[in-house]
Amino acid sequence: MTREGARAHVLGAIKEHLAVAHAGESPPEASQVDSCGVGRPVLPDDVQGRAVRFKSVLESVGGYVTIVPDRIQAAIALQHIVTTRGIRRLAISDDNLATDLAASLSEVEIVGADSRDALLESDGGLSGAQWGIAETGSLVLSSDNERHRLVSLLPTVHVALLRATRILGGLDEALRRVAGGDPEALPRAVTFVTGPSRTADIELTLVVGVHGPKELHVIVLQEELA
Amino acid sequence: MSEFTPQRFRQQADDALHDEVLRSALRRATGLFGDRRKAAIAEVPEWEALRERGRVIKENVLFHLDRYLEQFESNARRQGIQVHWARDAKEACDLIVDLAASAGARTVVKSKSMTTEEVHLNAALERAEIDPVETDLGEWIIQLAGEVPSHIIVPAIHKTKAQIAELFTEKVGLAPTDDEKKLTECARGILRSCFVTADVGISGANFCIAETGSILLVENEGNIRMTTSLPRVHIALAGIEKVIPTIDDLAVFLRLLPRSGTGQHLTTYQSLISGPRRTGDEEGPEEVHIVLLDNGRSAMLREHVTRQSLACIRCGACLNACPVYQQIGGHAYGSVYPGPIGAVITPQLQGAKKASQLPYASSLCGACREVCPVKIDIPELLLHLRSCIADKSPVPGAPNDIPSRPWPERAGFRVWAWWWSGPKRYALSSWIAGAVMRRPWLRWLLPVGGWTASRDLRTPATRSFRALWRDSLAEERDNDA
Repeated sequence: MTREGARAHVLGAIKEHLAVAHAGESPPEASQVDSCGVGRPVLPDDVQGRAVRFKSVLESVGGYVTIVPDRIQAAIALQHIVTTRGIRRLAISDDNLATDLAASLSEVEIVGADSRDALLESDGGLSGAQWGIAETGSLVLSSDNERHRLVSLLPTVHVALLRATRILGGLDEALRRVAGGDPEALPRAVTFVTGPSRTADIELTLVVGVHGPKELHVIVLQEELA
Repeated sequence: MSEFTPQRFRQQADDALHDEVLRSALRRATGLFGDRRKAAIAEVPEWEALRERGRVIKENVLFHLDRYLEQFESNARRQGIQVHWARDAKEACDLIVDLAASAGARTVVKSKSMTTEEVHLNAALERAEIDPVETDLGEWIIQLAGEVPSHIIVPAIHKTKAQIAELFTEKVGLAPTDDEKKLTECARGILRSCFVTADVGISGANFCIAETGSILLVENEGNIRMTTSLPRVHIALAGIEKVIPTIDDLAVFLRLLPRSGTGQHLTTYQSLISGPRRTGDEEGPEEVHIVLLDNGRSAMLREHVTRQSLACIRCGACLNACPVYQQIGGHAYGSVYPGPIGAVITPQLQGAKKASQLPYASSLCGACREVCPVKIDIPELLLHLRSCIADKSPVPGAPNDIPSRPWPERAGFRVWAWWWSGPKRYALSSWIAGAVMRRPWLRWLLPVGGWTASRDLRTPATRSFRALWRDSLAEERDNDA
């Protein structure tokens, strides 16, 4: 059977069986409820409150979150992570803030994220994050804005920079923001990250860092940028 | 790979019951997941409303599945995803082998996918001399051991750490260890080199979103991100039931699935994929393919009762909650899909003859229905399939291949049905039963020694319920009079 034949066959079979269902059943009641808000917890509606909630939820699954007032403090926090984790080679994405902050670091080699080999040999990866989600403590990485698909995945430690004003409330809001009012033109890859890579496949014992990063650090910047 | 089959359910269940290592692992795992699930849903005040919403979305989408699939297909194509269709397992395997071969693949990396297990994709790839490498840690362990998964979420739940360590020593030369961190680190190192060299990555899909033409994958380890980001070609295999209408609906399922599966509020990673790399991009695969698989699913759409089988989001909650699964584990079912949901899906996919014992592997306690995040009425489905098997009526989606029960059994049930359909005959038989059961020594005459040897039957009351009812009605009449 040809490939086009398979399509016609599958769709034809579905239509044929559904025709029987449609003849004998009344259609399921279309829901009156909007899918969006169902099951969303009560969330703070101010920037500071959302940042605090983001931090506590992400830390409950093993992430590290530092909330800093401005860029200078962010650079200090980043240097602290690099020094205490013994990062010798840090790969950075093409995010402007990441590039700026990385320039101020000392005692670490900085490499771009364009070479896969360089990424595989880096013990740290630095990226921005397009949004945060207060409900789940998640980062949202969108491929339209930044090249960070691999820099957030391959190095042992992932450090992400997130602006407090970009922390949204619920998961549903984040998905809507990703769709950006045009669901037919989504970024080709959107990744939601909530903590370090983990597994419990051996006797259900939690081990972090199975394939992805062993540590996730998020620096939340409160500064409003012009 | 394995000798487990649904036909041999009884023997396999018996073997499992005598495997103390397996049973203690199962007790631990199912208990732990059950507790975590309870804690995770307790933080959602609207949990019941959320389940209802999940059920309604699935019910609607399945009732108009052709439309949503066509919408998904056209949106996915517009984004540059190549959409393929497969009527059955063989067609899906042929398609994927062809795609992998034309990408020049010698090695493919795979992330955990029940659907690829269902079509036995690995065997097909191996026949074409393409080496499939499972990259989920649990799946990799059982691939090394030459076994099959025994749980939807934790495939190697049946293996102890000591067994896994021994396996790693034998197969990949790891020095003996009893540290799960070292075992994980060893897998990380070996699989990294596979990710980097593989030409093709093969995944499943948790959800296909019709309005955007995207697929969504959930995971904790990061191997799905690797599989879908590093190789030049990404192929996803998805059952036709995986489509959901909108991105808003996705929020509902992302709140339901991880809590029900592992008791997490969200798994570590979700990958929302809407196409291959575009001009100017430097990351991601050059080609993204989606194979939409029927393999017996479309026939389940015909009736309301069977259609709900397709609402399953593969969380595994019904396995952990099932008192039968808790005792025998996944292998006994002899199917890729074990537990209560497996007992209803397998006969519909493989034929009622092959899997005629599975719908009986349940006490109909309803624990599966209680925990199901999309409220599938599994006990109703089990009863429906039992009645199909007893009546020899066709199970939708499966060949009509059920053998008749032996004639003495059929005749016996017919006589019994006639006898109990008259009130006098019913009263007579319950009088006889009462008389026998009030004389304990008579019980030993009954041909149920195995049952009565370890259990005392309750002695029936001297007067039956029917007699008491008659009396109370008479009393009421007297009072009224």
